[in-house]
Amino acid sequence: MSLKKEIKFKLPVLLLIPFFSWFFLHIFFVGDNQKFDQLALGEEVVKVTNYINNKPILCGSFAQLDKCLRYLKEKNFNKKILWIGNSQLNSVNQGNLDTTKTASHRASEYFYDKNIGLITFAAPNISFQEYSVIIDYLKKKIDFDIIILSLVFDDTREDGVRKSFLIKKEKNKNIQKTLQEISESKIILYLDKHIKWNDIRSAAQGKIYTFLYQSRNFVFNINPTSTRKFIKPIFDKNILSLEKILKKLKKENIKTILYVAPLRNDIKIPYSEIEYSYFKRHTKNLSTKYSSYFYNLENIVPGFLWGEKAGTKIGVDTEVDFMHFKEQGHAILGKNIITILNKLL
Amino acid sequence: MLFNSFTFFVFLIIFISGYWFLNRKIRLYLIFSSSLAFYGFWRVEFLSLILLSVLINYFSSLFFEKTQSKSKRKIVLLFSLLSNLGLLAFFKYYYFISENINFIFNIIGSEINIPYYNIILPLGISFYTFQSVSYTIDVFNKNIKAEKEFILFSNYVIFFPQLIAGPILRAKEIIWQLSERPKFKIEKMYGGIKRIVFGLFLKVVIADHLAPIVEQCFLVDSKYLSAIDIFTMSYLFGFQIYFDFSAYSHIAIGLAMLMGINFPENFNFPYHSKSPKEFWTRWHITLSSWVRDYVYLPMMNYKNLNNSEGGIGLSIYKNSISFNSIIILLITWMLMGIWHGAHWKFVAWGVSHALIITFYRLFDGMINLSRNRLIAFASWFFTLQLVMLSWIPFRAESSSHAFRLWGRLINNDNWFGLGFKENTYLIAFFITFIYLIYPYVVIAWDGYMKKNVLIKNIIEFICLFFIVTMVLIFFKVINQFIYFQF
Repeated sequence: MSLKKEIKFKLPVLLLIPFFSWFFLHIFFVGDNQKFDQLALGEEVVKVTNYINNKPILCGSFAQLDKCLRYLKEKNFNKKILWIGNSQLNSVNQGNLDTTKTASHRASEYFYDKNIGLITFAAPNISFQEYSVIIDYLKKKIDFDIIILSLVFDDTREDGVRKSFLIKKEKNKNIQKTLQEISESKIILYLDKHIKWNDIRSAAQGKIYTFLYQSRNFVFNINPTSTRKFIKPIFDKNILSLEKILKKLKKENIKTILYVAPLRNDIKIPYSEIEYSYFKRHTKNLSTKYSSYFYNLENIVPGFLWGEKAGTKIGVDTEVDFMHFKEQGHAILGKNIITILNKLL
Repeated sequence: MLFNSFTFFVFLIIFISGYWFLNRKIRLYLIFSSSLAFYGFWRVEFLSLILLSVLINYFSSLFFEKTQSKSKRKIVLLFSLLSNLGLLAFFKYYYFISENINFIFNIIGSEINIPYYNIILPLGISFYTFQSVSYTIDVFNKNIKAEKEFILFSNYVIFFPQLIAGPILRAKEIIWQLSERPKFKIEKMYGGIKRIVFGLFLKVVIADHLAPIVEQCFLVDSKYLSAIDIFTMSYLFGFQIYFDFSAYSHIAIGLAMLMGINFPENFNFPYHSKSPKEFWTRWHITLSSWVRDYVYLPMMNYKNLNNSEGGIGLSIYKNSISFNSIIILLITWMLMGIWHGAHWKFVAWGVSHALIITFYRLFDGMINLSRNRLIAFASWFFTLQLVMLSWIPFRAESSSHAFRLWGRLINNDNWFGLGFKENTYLIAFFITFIYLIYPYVVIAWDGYMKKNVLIKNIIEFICLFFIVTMVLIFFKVINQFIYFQF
C-alpha cells in the first residue's frame, strides 16, 4: 500500500479516536463517584458523616462546614467546641455506614444534652498548615470556646493547603471576564449537562492516581509498616503553623487541647522511634509554651480494635491499617475526649 | 485564545473548513480576521497595539523599497526600530527600568522618583516584535523585498498559530507560503493532527502535572535543601518548561500543517546535547537563530544567515577567543535573558549561559570533546547538569533566591539530605529516564517495524488511543503555557 493510500485509511481512524476514547471512558466510569481518597482506603474503611437532628456535625469540606455551622447557630448552645483531625475521625474500619458512631459523634451527642455544641472537621492527610486555614475561616463565623487538635506524625509530612480548602475570595465585579473565559464556561456547562464531562473525568483520574500509587508501592515494596521519612522542611513548616495557631488562640482566650492521636501499637510502628519521640516532645513543649492542654492518647486503642484497609499495592487485597480503627476504638477515643472536656468545662 | 481550550477547537474547526474552500483573496482575509479574533478573545483592546506595529513595519519597509537615500533610509529604520522596541520597552520593561532608576536615585540621595504604573503585558508582544523587527532589518539590508500586499504582510505578523509564543518566523520562509495556495496533502493533515494531539499530551498530562511539584520545591526555604535537592528541583523545572514550551511548538507546527504550511522546528531533544553550543542549536531554535542573526553576528561583524534554523551554534570563535568575543557573548546572552522577562534573575540566567559557553570554548580548544565515546558521554553528562542548574534563576523568586539555591551546591555539610517527599525524587528520576531513552527507543522501533507495516499501524493507533484518552482525562483549560509570560 502506498503512503498516500495508507494515510487515506489512517486519517479517518485518527479523527474517530476521540469519540472511541470518550465512549470507552463513558462505559467504564459513568456513575463512578468514588474519590481518590476513598479508592485508596477501599471498601474496608467506611467514611461516615454524622448527624444530630438531621444536621451534619462531622464534615470534610468547606461546603459541608457551612452546614455544620448551622447546627451550632440554630440552637443557643452555652459553649461551642471544634474538633479537627485527619481521616481517623471520620473513617471506621470494618464499620457500617448506617449504624456506626464515630468518637466525635459520641462526644457531640453527649454534650448536646448539656447544651454544648461540638462539631468536627476531618480530612485525609490534613496538615497543620490546613488547620490554620480552617480555624481562621471558622473563627470569623463562630466564637468557639474550645478547640481540639489531633496530632498525627504522618500529617507533618504534608505540605501546603489543598485547593478545596482555599476560601473563595468574593468575586470582584470590576474584573471583566475575557471572551475566552465566558465561552469556555458555557461550553463546559453544556458538556457537563449532556455527557457528564467532569464526573467521568474525575472518576478516571482517581483510578489512574490509585493505579500509579499501587504500582509505586509494588515496585518499591512499600507497605503500611514501611518507615515514613521525616521531612525536615515540611515538618518545620507545619510546626510553625501549629505554633501560630496556639499563639493566636491563647491571645483570644480560646482553650486548646492537643492530643497525640491513637496509633496501632501491636506491630512495629511505621516511624523512626527517635523522630516520633522528637515530634511528641516538640508538640508538648509548644503546648506548655502557649498554655494549652496536651494529652498523649497514642496507646488508648488496643491492637485488636484496629482493622484492615484495602491493599496499597498491586496484588494485595487488604493490609493492616495504622490510621483508622474499628467502632469500639472510636468509643474509647470518644470517652477519653469527653473526660478531658469535662475537666475543662 | 488558549490552544488547550474548547473554544479554540470550535474556532479551529470553523477556520479549517473555510480555509480549504476559499479562493486566495478571501482566504487571506479569513486568516487575518481569524487571527484578530484569536487574539481578541484574550484582550480586544490590545489588538490596536499589534495593528500599530504592523502599520509601522509595513510602511517603513515600503519606504526602504522606494528610497535610495542612505541617510533617509537610516532615519526611517531608526524610527521603526525605536517604535517597535519602544512599545516592547514600555509594556514589558517600564516597571523594571523605573524600579532600577529609582534605586540608583535613592543610592545617590536624589529625591526624584519615577512613578510606577500597573501595566498589563500584552500577550506575545516579545514574539511579534522580534518577528516585525527582523522583517524590517531584512528589507533594509535588501535581503528580502518588501511585501506590498498589506493583508499578506499583516498575516505574516499576526498568523494565529505562532502569534503568542512562536516559533519566531522569518518573512522569506513564511510569506510565500501564506500567499500561494498550498496544495492539500492528506499526509500533512494526518501529521498535523498527530502533532497537535502529541502537544496537548505533553502539556496537559506531563507539564501540568510537574507544575505543582515544582512549585512546592521552590517554596521550600533554601536553608533546608541539599545538593541533591537542588539538582532534583532544577531537573523537574527543566522538564516542566521543556514539555510546556515544546508542547506549544508542537501544536503551532501541527496547526500550520493543517493549512499546508511548514513552520521551522523549535526543539530537537535539547537535553541530549553534548555541549552548550549544541544545546543552543536544539533549544528554542527560532529565538536563538534570531539572536544569532540580529544581535550576535552583526556585533561579530559577520553576515546575517537570514534563516530561522540552526540556532546559535556557530564555530566562528575558533582560534579567536578574544576579550572582545567574550564581551559580545556576554551582551548577547544578557539580551537573551532580558528578552525572557524584566527581572535581574533572567539576566543571571543569560550570564550563566554565557559563562558556560565561554568555559566550553576554552575546554573545547584544549581537548576535542567529541574525540571518543567516553569523552563525548562525559561532555553530554556535564552539559546536562549545567543546563539544568542554569534553570534555577528562571524559576526562582528573585536573583538572590537563585544565588541562595546555587549556594547550597557547595554547602558540604548537606549534600545528600532529602528535603522533599519521596515521590518528588521518583518523578524526577522517572521523567529523566523516559526522556533520555525515548529517541533511541523510537529509532530502534522504527527500524524493527520497517517491514511489519500492519503491526506498526496497529501499535501506532493503540498509542494514539492512549494519548487521546489521557488528554481527555486531564484536559484543563485554566493552565496557560509558561512562555505566554515572555
